[in-house]
Amino acid sequence: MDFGSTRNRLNRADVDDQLSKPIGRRIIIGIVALGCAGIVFGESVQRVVGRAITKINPSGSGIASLFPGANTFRIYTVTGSLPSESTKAYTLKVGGLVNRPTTYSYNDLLAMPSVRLDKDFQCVTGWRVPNVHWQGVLLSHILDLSQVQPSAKAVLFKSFDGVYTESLTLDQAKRSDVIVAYEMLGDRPISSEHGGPVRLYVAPMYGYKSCKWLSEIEISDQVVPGYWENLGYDVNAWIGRSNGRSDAPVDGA
Amino acid sequence: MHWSTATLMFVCIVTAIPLYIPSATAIIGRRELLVTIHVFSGILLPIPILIGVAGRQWGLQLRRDLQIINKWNSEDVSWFRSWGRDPLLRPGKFNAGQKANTSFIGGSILVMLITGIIMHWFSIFPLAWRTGATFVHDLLAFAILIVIIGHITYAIRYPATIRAITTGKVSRDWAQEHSPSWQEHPIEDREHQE
Repeated sequence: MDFGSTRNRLNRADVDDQLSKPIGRRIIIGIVALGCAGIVFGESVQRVVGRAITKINPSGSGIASLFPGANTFRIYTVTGSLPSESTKAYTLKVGGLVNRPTTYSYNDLLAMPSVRLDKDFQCVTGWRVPNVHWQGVLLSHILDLSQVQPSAKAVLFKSFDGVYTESLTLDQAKRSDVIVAYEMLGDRPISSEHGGPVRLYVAPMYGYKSCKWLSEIEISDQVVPGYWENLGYDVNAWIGRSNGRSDAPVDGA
Repeated sequence: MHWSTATLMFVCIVTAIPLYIPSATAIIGRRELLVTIHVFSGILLPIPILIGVAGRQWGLQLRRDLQIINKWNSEDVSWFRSWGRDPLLRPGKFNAGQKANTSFIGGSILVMLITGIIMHWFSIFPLAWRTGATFVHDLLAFAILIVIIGHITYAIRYPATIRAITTGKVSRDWAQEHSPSWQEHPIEDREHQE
């Protein structure tokens, strides 16, 4: 920030004081340096801050959760308003290349054998919520119930927001850390902000694979790029191993 | 210059609220639209300043002001010790608080731009950087908000400064009382860069 050409027309107060220092420039350089250090080392600082906030505010809601660095979800929707459906009206349709197309109610899902996962939710843009409690039904269990045909290669998901779609290969869908979830963040039903009453949770992949407001599962012979994937995101969204990077995976994927 | 920057900053802040606060997101929705507006105004934010200093003729006054703002003397250090209350202080055109505000916001705009770029065009950056950038962006947003609230509060407390920033003029008496070291000014020199 040296504007040398105008140096001759300085204020008297500043010309008088030969001791004047370019503090303004130092403030700017200082902030930028701190900012860059924050980018490179901020992750570990954020971990500490997040843990501290969680300790003070275990519920994860309220004012403390708004503090920067708090381990909170950011709510993404791709439609104009927040999709919402009651547990009573909710249905999950399973169809496509299966012998037994079925439609399940919310209570049907609750009655199935449940699994519990305590795993991170990692957004591709950088934010992360560690150790989220998830509960639901193994996706592989639902696939087994419908008897997937041999020609099947992929599983497609549709959201009742009417826009969002996702997909997994059949192998990915059969993993033991991929569930159709009806509880998250403690023993609470999933709120509509978080994609309730039922959403997908794909633990080893970035958050956009975990389709919110899940309403339809279609078994197909090929993977169809979903909403974000049409906008350039990777279809195989392994955490730390996709979307431009091959860093060490955050979770043992 | 001041007002186009202020407007863009205001748009950034207003659109940031529903992007950051989950319950506000739920009420307002339209996330994609908000993201587009936020990113667009964020990228435009430094442009008025750059145009403001770039002009050979029209940038003259702003460059001169920035040079005053850059240079701090012992007077400015004592200003901070008494938060401007020391009656012996004789600030120039800008007191130390105004200087610090300008530099802080200038540096912050740069950092918000860098971290914002990492958050939006994330795929070329390591995951840890994305998390770091998000943290810095959030933290600095709060700091900026506090500083801007302070900036507006002090402006309201001294209405003559609002007249100065809107009309580009201050009365000779007011200047002598509040900026005694600010001299050497033919009238036309006092025009602020708007």
